[in-house]
Amino acid sequence: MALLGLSTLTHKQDVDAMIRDTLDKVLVLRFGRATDPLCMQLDETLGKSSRELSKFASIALVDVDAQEIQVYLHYFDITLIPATVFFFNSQHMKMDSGTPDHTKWIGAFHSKQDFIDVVETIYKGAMRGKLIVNCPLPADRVPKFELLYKDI
Amino acid sequence: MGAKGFSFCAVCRRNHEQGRGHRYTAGHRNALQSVLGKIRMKIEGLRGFLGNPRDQAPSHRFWCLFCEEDVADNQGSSSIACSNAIHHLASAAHVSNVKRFWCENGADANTRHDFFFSRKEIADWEAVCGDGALADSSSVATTQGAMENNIHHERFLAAKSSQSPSVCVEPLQKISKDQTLQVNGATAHRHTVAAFGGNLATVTPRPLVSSKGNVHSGAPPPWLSDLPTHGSDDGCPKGISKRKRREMERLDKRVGAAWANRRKAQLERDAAPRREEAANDWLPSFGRVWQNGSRRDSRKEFEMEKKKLREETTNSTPPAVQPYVGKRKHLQMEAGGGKHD
Repeated sequence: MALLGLSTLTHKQDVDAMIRDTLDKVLVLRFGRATDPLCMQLDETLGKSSRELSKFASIALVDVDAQEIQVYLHYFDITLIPATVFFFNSQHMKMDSGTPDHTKWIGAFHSKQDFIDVVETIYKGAMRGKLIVNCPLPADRVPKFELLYKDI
Repeated sequence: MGAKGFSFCAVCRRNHEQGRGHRYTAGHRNALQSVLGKIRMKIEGLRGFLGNPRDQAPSHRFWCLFCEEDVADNQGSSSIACSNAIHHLASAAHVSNVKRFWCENGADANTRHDFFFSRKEIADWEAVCGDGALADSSSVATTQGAMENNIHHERFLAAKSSQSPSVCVEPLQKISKDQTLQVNGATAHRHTVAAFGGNLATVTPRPLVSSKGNVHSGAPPPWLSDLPTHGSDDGCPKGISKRKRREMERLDKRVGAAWANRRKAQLERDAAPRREEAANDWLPSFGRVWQNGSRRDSRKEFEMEKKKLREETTNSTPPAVQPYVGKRKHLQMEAGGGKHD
């Protein structure tokens, strides 16, 4: 993914440093595998829009197969990839897109503009103090999935 | 030639005086597309029951836009699932209402057949119901466009039959905006057991030694758990100008503002080493251009120091004031003094 200008993180301390040191900018972390076709599609979208969003967003890729990253898979309850998680000033940002899971975005984006709109909405909400924002995309452009929960 | 008059469009839900031309406007077409999409989804869900009538079906009450009436579910009155709704969608009145709706609203004629059940479909369904054959849970084929409630029920049954009795899996709950999960409360301690969707790959996290909780239960995040301990942790860097302080107050309502301020101060401290105590051979930088802060600050500093210096000089005894004596007079006095002697 060096061709797209995005760094791939495999160590927990790198992810921690990225989250803690990205200040006043939306941090977009893609959890997935470089070999998965849908992940590759999403990575291309992220890479192409990283320059346009560079003023208010940072993007990084996280490899789900790394041993140190498992703690994040458990924390964010990631079972489907690609899963995109948003942060702002070390706070996890949620987005209500009508899916069962508001804590992350599952799947790829329909177009580069959709991704830009989502990041912009999260940035605007975060600057106003909102921890959860509404997704600006119409329902037919949101990937559908289903989850079965178990209470712990 | 008379006035067109106002008429109400049920799709756009507004009055207009565009007459028959209203159905060709972009707004009407968009509204029509979204409305028909929603109705199509519900009807596809009921179509799923045509092939698999069951004893128990979740509530399927819906509003038929074409006939403008409520189609109630038949719980308690019939053992066949959704028979009320299926009979309604096959009835001659409904079919003629669909045709009328299509003419009035200018929808695509090719899609009209999706919104009612044909005679052949009903005949097949009645044959299946008449045999009394009921599909069991394992042979249920879940379609893409099935109703939400049906998906919940069928997946729940499939999951229950495939899993061991010790695992208790709850059916999917639709989390709407009103039911936001509390971050710090004990309302949502849950983790995902199974997940599926589209062409998404699944990933199973390797089991951890200690599972403390997750984002749903409001557990502390892992990126703040290994925070290195640092020294004095003052919230705001000292010595910032008033303009900067005003800007920071405006930004204080952003998410994580306190953390961002603290972290910025910490990073600045780490980047610039602390100034050491002045050595004996220290000399001040008179230019004041390279010091921290704006020129306004350095100007204020300079005025403070000038004031301090002035106070120090006024406190000491002032020099004796003597009258002015010209140079010629001074020489004459000296010479006269010498002569007199």
